[in-house]
This record gives sequence, structure tokens and C-alpha cells, in this order.
Amino acid sequence: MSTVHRALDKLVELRARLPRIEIFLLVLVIAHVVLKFVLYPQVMDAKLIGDETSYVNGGRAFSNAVRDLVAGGGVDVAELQRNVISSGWFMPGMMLLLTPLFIVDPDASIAMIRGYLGVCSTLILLLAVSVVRRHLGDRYAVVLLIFPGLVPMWLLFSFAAWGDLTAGLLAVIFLALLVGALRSIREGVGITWRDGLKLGLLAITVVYFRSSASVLAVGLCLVVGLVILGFLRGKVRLRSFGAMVVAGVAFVGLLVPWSIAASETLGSRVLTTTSVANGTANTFGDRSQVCFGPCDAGSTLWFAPVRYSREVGRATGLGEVEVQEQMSEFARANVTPQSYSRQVLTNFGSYLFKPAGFAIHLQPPNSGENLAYWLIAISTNLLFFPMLAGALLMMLGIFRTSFDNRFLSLLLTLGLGSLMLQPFLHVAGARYWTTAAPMMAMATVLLGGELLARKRGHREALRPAGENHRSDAVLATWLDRAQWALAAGLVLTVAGLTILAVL
Amino acid sequence: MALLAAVLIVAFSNSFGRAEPTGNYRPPLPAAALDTGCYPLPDGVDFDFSFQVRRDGDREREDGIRRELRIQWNLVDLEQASKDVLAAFTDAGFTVISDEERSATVTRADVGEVSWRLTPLDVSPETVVQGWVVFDLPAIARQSDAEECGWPSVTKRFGKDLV
Repeated sequence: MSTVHRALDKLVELRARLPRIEIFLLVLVIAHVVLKFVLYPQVMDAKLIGDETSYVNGGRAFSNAVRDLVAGGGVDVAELQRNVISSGWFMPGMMLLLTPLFIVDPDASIAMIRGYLGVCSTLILLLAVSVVRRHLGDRYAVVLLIFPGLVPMWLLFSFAAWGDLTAGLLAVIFLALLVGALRSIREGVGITWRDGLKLGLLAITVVYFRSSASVLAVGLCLVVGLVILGFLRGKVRLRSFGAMVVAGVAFVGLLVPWSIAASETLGSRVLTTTSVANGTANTFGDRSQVCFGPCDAGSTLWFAPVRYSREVGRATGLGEVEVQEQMSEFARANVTPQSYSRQVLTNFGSYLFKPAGFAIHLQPPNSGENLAYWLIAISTNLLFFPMLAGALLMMLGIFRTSFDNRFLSLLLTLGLGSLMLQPFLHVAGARYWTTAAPMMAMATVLLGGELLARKRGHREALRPAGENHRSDAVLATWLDRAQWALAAGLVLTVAGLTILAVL
Repeated sequence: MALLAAVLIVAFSNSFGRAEPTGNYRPPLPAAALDTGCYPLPDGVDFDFSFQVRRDGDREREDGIRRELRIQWNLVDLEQASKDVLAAFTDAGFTVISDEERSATVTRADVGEVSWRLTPLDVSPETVVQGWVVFDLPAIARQSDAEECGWPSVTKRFGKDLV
């Protein structure tokens, strides 16, 4: 423990000698921008990879829809259905983000597309840093600018059209606002319908960028709702709960148009995306039985099942998504707890231990494992793994020195935990960590802050109950129980998976 | 200012040209194999039940090259599927040589013998796909010059183990 204390002392010393925080932040922003300029040539000619083409096509189709609307003619619905909804695999957030580019430059080159996305992602990072700074303080802002702001692989992804990275940045903005809301609730002030509206809009925006973040968005809003119901009293409770209803209405209101469009197009009920059926079939099931037998040769394990489901739909009148669900069930008929948990652990491996897995793709054509590749891969790994360790430790810890720390611990553990549901449903890839990255950084800062506060003996005083709210002691008790439950849940899940996989 | 610029850009968006999405993540659904006339069934045979062709091709055997057509039937049980398949051939003037629960052989002078074997899947009655039928038919050459007759996604002739 004394080593930790000495390290903390050093940190405190270092902090005292650092320049004014604004200058420090500015230096980090400049470093981020410079690194982006340095890394841009690495990706400017890297052709669109896999799903990126779908997002780019969606942006093109949206821009044409804007043209059609301006011209006063009918919108090309078929084009939108084919390029925006396609097979219902992706939410349209990135497509909407790309739309302005294609309005101005309909034939935008790869270099232009990547450059535009690079500018957008930097702006969103800066927005996230500023919101986090306002709500949570300098420490968190600084670390976000370093991680992910200076991580080479993350910077390469910031020129790419997948939604994972953007969803991760929006998620920390959402988280910062949630902490603000919880603070107001604790003070007995509660939240207003405006706060609720903001939370609902942010939650649905996150989902529009990455449907796998749906549990995070909805789950964290439910937590706030529960705290309101359990902690507040009287009119404030009613008003605050009303605010969360507003959040829910905003969320649903913006989700419904998408759900309707996707459901109409695919002839099945679709809420967000349709990928879970094929995902679980290909991930956990027998890949040679996904099409009630082998799928067609000559296509991928993602496209062939969809074509087959459309053929079965044509022959039977059933919706393709319903057919896909039945296909998935058939392919998974022989899944055992052991085969399932082994695959989940494999997925976790891909999710968490290959942060630079895409460096070989996001580079100039035919570059191979050259010097730039190794510099990017090594530096990314060096920055990534300490943050991962910090995040995992944080998820296991119980934070009690302040209510801010309690709130953040709860939100970050739930947030990171809900992102970790994905390996239970789908093969994981080396880009999914970009959604979790900003939260991992915040988790590590939280851990450091808590250790520092404990060392200094800081502990926030408990306030008594007020007219509109119960006492801090009650809130603390419940928040601490929740933290214990989450930590225990995490340990039990990992232990359970490991035991099932080995037995 | 920024808003004004945005409005102007949108207003003139049609003068910049039109974007061309490729739609490559949602290719049009190719025609059903037996609807194309590329490799038809014997004259007059019409499958009047719900099915999809999964594989088609020629197989070399001791008695010459034969066509093997694999389809899946939907929605009905083995008994009904067995009746439906047999009816498709008897309605077209084939005479029955043998008719068992899971297999049958029929013949017609201009075609020769056709036989098939049904294999139900181990699924609930609510499941859409219920089983496979593998037909043994006389080989047939491509009957149409249409471009789609060269697409395996249409004909389900993927080569590999079938000749």
C-alpha cells in the first residue's frame, strides 16, 4: 500500500507544479489535433471497410432525399429503403452525420469522407470534454483528451464511418448530465422537464449511433427514475418523475419513426436493428445449419442468411426478420452452456484484447506491417491496457468518499457493464472498444480520485433529510448496496462463465 | 450566419449534382430458381406448394449423368408434403411406380423415371421450414440465354460437389 501512497504523493506534487489548467487543456487539444494531422495520411486512401460502405451509402441516400424535398418532388423511397434501412443491421446516426457532406459534395472522395469524419469526431470529442469538465471537473476532461484523445488507433477510427466511437463520446456526455441530475436530486431540488428532455434526446442519439448501446441509454435513465422515486418526496418527486417521463417520451418519440420505417421496409416488427438473430446464429450456433441447412456458397456468413430469409419470405409470405429468428433458433439447437460460455469468453478476448486489430486495415493500400503500423499498434496497446485495468478495478470497487463518486461508480459500472453485454450476443470485433474507451478513462480517473480522497481522509459529510428528500444516509446506504451488488454480479458472471467453459 | 449559410447550401443542393449510393448492402432479391426457365422441371410439372430451391446440379453416376435438385418445403407436415410432391407429378401425367412415406418414384414416357426422398427436419410444427426433398431427375441443359441463368444465386448451381 505504501508504494501506492508514494505514487499518489508524487502525483499530488506533480499536480502542484503543473501550469494553469486551461493552458494544459489547450496543449492537449493541440496535441490531439496535431496527431490527427499526422495520422490522416495513414487513412486518407484506405478504402471503406465492410459496414462503412453501408453508412456512407445511407448518407448519400439521405442527401438525395434532401435534394428531392428542396426540389419539391417526391422522395425516392426505394433508394432510402435500400441504402438507409437495407437489411436493418444499422441505426442511421452515422448516415445522418454524413448527410451534410454529401449535400455539398455528392461525389465526395474517400479522402474527403475520411477528412470530414475526422473533423466531426474532433468536434464531438471537444464537446464531450467541455461537458464533462463542466459537470465533473478538470481531472476528467484532461484524461479524456489523453485517452482516447491521443490514442493512435482511436484517432484512426475517428476518420472512419462506423458509429462505435461517436456513440462512446455521446455516452460520456449523457453520463455527465446524469451525474448532474443525480446531484440535483440529492440536493432535493429535483430535475425539470428541460433536464428530462435533454436526457431523453441524448439517450436516443446514442442509440442512433450504436444500437448495442440501447441497454445503457435506457438502463441509466431507469436508474435516475428509481432514485427519484426512492429518495425524493412530495411535489419535487412528482415534478422530477414527470421530467423522466418527458425523457421517455422524447426517446420513444424519436425512435418510433425509425422503427416504423424499418418495420415497413422489412415486413416484420423491428425496434432498432435486426442483427441479433443472425448474430447469435453465427456466433453461438452451427454455422453449417444457419439456413435450415447450409447457406448458399459464394457469399458471406452475414449476407447469405439474409438472402435466404428473403427467399423463404417470398415463398411463405412471412417477414424476413421472423424467418431469421427461426433460422437462428434452429442453428442454435445444439448450443450447450459450455459451448456458449466458451464463445462468450472468446468474444471478450476480441472485444478487450485486440485494441489495434484494425491497424492493418486502416492504412494505405498494401502497406502491411510496416513501421507506421507497429508504432500505432504498440503505442495503442501501451495506452490501452492500463486504462482497461483501471476500468476493471473500478468496476469491482466500492466508492464512498463522495456522492459524486458514488453516482459515477454506479453509472460507469452499469454503463460499461451494459456495453459488455454485446459479447453475450455477437462475435466481438477489434473496434467495439472505441465505444467503451471514454468511459474506461473516466473509470480510471474515478479510481485514482477515490484512492486520493481516502488517503487524505476526505469524506463528504452526510446531510439530514429535508422537506423534499430523505437523508443522505439513506441514499448512501442504497448506493453502496447497489455498488456491492454490481461488483458481486460482475465477479459471479466472470466466475460462472469460466466454470461453465471449463467443466 | 452559419444557419443562413446552411439554408443557402440546402436550397442550392440540387445544383451540386446527385449522390450515387451503391445499395451494395441490400442487393435486389434474385428471381426464384424454378421461375426463370433456366433449368425447368419436366414439362407440365408445377410445384403448387411453398418451397425454396437450395441446390441444383448434375451428378455423375454409373447410369450416366443425373440431375439432383434439393429443395426445402415449408409450413406443412411430412404427410402433406409427400402428397403435394406426388400430386405435382401425377397431375402432369406421370404414373406412380412406388409411393412410400418418405420416398417415391414416378415415370412418364418422354421423361423417364423421377424419384425423390423427403427428410423432415427436427423442428416444431410452427417452424416455417419443415424439411428437405432431394429429387433425382434426368439431367437438363441450360434452357435460356438470359444473363441470370449464369448466376449461381439464381440457379443455385454452385458447382463444387455436384458436377
